[in-house]
Amino acid sequence: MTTLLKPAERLGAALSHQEGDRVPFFLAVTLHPARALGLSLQDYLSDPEAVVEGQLRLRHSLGHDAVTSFLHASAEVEAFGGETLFRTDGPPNTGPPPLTRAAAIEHLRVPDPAQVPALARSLAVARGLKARLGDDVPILGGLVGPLSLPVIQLGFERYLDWLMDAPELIRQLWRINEAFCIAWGNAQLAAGVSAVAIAEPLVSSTLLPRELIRQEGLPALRRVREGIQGAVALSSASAPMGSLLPELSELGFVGLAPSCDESLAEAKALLQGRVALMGGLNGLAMSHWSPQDAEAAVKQAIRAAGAGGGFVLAEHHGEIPWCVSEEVLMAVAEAVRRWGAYPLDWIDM
Amino acid sequence: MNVSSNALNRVEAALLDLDLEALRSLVVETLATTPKLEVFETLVAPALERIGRSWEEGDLALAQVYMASRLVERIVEEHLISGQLAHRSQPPIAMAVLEDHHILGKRLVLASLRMDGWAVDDWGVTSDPVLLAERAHGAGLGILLISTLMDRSARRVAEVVGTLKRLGASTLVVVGGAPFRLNPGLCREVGADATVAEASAVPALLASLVGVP
Repeated sequence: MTTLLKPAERLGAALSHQEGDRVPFFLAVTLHPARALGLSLQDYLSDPEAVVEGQLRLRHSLGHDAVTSFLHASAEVEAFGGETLFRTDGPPNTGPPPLTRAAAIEHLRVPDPAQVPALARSLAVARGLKARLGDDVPILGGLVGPLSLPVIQLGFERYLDWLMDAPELIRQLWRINEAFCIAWGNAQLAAGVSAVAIAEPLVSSTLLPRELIRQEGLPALRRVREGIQGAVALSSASAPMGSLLPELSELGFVGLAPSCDESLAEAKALLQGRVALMGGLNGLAMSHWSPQDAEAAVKQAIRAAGAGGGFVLAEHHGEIPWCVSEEVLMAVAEAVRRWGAYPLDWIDM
Repeated sequence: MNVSSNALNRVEAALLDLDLEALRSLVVETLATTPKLEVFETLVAPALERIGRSWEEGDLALAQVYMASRLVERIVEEHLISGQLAHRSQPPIAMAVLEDHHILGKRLVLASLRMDGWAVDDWGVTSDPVLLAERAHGAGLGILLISTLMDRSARRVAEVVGTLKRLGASTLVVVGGAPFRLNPGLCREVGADATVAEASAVPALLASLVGVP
């Protein structure tokens, strides 16, 4: 009989490309704990103690293998003068882009994450979770990557307009963002997170030209990864990594999370033994899943990528949508326990 | 006009290379033998459509589609006075973004529609689905195009549709954006009439909705 591992051991086995007791899984429930605690999303996300309590409560009910100190992506735009717009029935969004003039970038300095209230709250969450969980349950931090931050700093149109008309300005912003990402990642590690996940949708050649990513994006991501003094994973936040996956796998990330629209089996074969594969579940699709659909999706992902370790089942975008029911989340968790136990003898049947 | 595949290829290449001068030369060269509107409708617009299709097939980046659209906008401004392309028999049409400041879809769709001869009002960004529906009803819109980025915003289209129904409006609602592309059932769920995955496919969709060739 297989010994039951602690979540950190289970994830450690997967990241070492070994089979632990079962396939590890993590559901990025950044919003659902508010419902469990009976708080509005704004009250919940503004109170580090509530977030710690909420993460622990969902970790207990789902039994997944990590918690997160990540609050919301719009917190990062606050570091650059932007604002967060809270909603009652969905994730916070960013307000109008804060950097609208070239001069704003020319005079921009790298913000200190600890001095930004929204980021300081995330650090407080990391400290709180670390105090409660120690080393048994990994704490995942997160940040928006240097190529993708301009979407919320400038607005997507202005980003691409300036990329056409004033590329040096964009390069300058990317350099500032690199330094910010490194500082923000290290601050999270110092506060207690076990690993940092970079959300970088603009590393997808469906969004930026492939050659531009090769020439500018991949070196920037390598520098950020090297600058962060701990384990770093990369997610394309549901955008396809496509033909860039082999090059991304050479950048030193401990895990890669491509879009679940891509073939998990092919990605696993490509990453086998070198980089862990993360993902496999589509959060938007979850909103109309039945418990049976959830079980089928879990089985399909485990069948495609579970054998031999090196796989962490997760939602591919990085946040479970607010409209996904707790019933479906519980069905996912139950299905992992039922079908994810190693050895995966059933997948050959 | 009988457009050669070579001419189309050259326009497409100029758009992808972001070579405004080359595009200008190609348009001016063709204008020597072809009426202005035909040059845009049978040469420039199809080249832009091809680029949109290549994005849909995963061969090009959204940034390239956007930048090509911007080049086309420039060349249109140089050669055509505002509204000159709009020549269809069509109901009033408007487009709005629901709740988000960071998406490209509206500009791409507007460029694509205007190149194809559709007159579309740009209603910008709105955060109130009820007001949007009331405005659409007040303007007697035949079609309201709504672009969204976030799942939550996409779901609020249901409020637009519900308000239009309550007002007795016959406005058709066409939706687009990542939430609808990634969740094919969502269009029906929110009660919208149609959705398409790419901006260059919107003209054909509108033509089918209003029954014009």
